[in-house]
Amino acid sequence: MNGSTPPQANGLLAALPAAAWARWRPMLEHVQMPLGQSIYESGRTLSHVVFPTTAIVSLLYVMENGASAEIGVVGREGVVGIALFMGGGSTPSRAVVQSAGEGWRLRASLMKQEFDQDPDVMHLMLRYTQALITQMSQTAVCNRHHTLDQQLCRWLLLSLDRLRGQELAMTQELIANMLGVRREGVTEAALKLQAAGLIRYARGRITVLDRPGLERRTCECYAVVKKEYDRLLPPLSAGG
Amino acid sequence: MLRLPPLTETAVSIPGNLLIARLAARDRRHLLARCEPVALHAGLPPGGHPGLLQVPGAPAVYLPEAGAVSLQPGIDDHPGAVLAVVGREGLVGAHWPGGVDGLALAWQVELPGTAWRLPRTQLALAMDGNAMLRLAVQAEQGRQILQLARGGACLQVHQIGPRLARWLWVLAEHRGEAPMAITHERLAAMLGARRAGVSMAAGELQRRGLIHYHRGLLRVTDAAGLRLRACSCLDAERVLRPDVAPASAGAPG
Repeated sequence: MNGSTPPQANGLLAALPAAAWARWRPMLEHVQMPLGQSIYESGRTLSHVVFPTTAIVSLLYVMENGASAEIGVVGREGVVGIALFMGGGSTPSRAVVQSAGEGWRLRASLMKQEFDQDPDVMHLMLRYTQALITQMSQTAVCNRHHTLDQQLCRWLLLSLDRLRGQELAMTQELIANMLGVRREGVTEAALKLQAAGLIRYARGRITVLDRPGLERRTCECYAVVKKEYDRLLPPLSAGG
Repeated sequence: MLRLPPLTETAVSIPGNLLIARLAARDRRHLLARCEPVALHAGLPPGGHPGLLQVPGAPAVYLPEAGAVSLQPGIDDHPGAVLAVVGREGLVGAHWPGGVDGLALAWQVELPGTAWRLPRTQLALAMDGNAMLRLAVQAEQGRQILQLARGGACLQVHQIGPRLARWLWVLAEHRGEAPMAITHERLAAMLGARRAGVSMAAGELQRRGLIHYHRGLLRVTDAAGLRLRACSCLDAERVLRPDVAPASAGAPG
């Protein structure tokens, strides 16, 4: 485990009560999460749930005809695989690593058993599920009502909250996929933000120069989601 | 998703809330003794108080007997778009009765009706003592989360015409034969779209003879045709309903 981020870099794992932590610790497996890796595929049974520490995972809903749309992001504040708590082992969505990093995973059968038997664990996971629901819902309506540069600000801020630095390695293609728009649209929105001095965009990397500026420029949706995460979830350690 | 045994046709045919219908007679009486009947007024949250956004931590859940309630996140204090619709097959406002505050999302009555109102603490107590109720509430929560996830994707992926056809079909199913009083503004709010776009889409459905819209009253004239125009979300979500037998879910309604 040399060089890997500790499990407690994930907010949910850090918040486990001592008894649960003692049971979980030997069961957790460290995982590398390279860019583009699929954590699970639609219609498949979940084998593990994954607690990211430095990676960010994008949740995509997949329609019958293969069309997909991003419905949420999960990072060190959360867990990938909430379908498990809803009683189902399989899921209608895909989960794909959108920013490379690391995480820890737990077998789905163990997670289910812990969820059913330890009220503290259940409560923590349900609080997270509820926060994620707010993110999914607000993202959905944001995409209908707000300008693309507002959406891009929201998306950058949600991603930044899940990273330790101020730099995101993102291609415009990836961002376009996540926002469900054409690549040209993302280019235009990114150039606007760059012209306003909020970000620098070069060779596929976005560096945020003015975070408060992004927060002023984005729509209310970012604040709605952030407030709900702050209200429901344990605070994340600043250093990660 | 957690699946409960399907309800019998007889159980579905009796008016009332289908979650309550699952309970044994004695448990049903016990639960209803703690409920009070309330009217659902169109355009308002289930509690009937003006103002769109339900206060987080609102103390009650609602078990509709008739009518339909939609779940819609707000944008600038206005409804953003409908992500899910719940009628007598489910309950609203009960996300995580285990003590977590209510969802920061707005519920709004789309079709008037009646519901049983129950304090959240009472629901939590009743769930502790009744395995069937606990399973039914959990299954309903799971269903609503799937609806929300899909609802978000639908807004991005599907065109306005098929989305309008889908929601009108769903509302008509809850409403039955009677015409629905619904304005183009309300439809636009449901779809998260501009009024002009909704008017065009509704005009198209009318030209095809699927609906008849006159002076704010909307009647579905060809339900099977409307269903064919609807996006795939209609059938995908119908199979999740506890009152729809899996075998009949694909048949035209």
